[in-house]
Amino acid sequence: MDNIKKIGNFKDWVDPAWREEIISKEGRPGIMAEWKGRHDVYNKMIAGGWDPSVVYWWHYQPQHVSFTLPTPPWLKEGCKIKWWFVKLIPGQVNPLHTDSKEKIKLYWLPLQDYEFGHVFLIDNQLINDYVLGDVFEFNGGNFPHGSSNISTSVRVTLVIKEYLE
Amino acid sequence: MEFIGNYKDYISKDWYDECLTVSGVSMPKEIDSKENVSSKMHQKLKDANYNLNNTFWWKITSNDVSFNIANLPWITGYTFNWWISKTMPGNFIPMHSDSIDVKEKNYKRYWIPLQDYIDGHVFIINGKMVTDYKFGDVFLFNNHKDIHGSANISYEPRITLQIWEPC
Repeated sequence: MDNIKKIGNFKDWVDPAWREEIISKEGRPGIMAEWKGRHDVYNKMIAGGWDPSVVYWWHYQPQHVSFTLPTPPWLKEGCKIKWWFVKLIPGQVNPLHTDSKEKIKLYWLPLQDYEFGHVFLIDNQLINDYVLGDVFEFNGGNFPHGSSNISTSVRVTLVIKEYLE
Repeated sequence: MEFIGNYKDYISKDWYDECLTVSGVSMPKEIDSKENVSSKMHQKLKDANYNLNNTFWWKITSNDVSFNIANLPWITGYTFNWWISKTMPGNFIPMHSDSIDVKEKNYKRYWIPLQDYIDGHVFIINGKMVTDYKFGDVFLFNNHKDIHGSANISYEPRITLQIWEPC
């Protein structure tokens, strides 16, 4: 895999109630201060003008929602995964970053069809050819990626991390 | 959007440097008081829960800087309007179609980056992202009403020159 590849559409697996619940409430605030010590680029970002206390995005882990996620159909039953949703309301952004180089696979799944202004950028490439339920495997450990919402609708995505060992 | 050519010899790098040192007008936070603008676009943004009391980006005009912009070789008419957009890291400009209160119906709309492309400097027009540009490249909108927007998810300011030329 290069930077990102589509592995299929799993719309039937996605419960519309997930998006509704996430839109209806706040999760964990996505603030730059939490990146301190976790991302190498933190100091560079603060020097560049990012405000460590501003809520730039919303993060939802299992403890922030009422539902549980069934095993994704493209993965084997019992595999070890970690998952979270990211919500960007209009005007929110998720800074460009590279994830840690663990032995993992990362999957990205939009909970709505693509819309003008829903930005997902990886390796200088705008990902804009998708519909609800599409699943992309992306190489977040090697390629910088980030997102923003400059549209007039909320953008919700699911990220699943599969541990390979 | 059409690439017209590179005119870096007519564009000073000092413009970028000076724009870093001035703030300009906070958009849209200060626009109502300074320009008395009330548009359908603002209402649409409000309806989408954008907080119009925040700074999305900075608008820099001739009032804010010491330099003047004139004698640009790709401009064929007698006059043009310009402003500079500064989007700091974390800033953005929502998707929109320009609305300027002018008498002329037809305009040429130019977009000129004042720095080379940087990963995380997002500019989208008609659904496509513009990348790999260089300082001084000049681009012409296909139509001055083309829908566009931008975001800065990088670590460096993003500064672009905007020009409207009546035709």
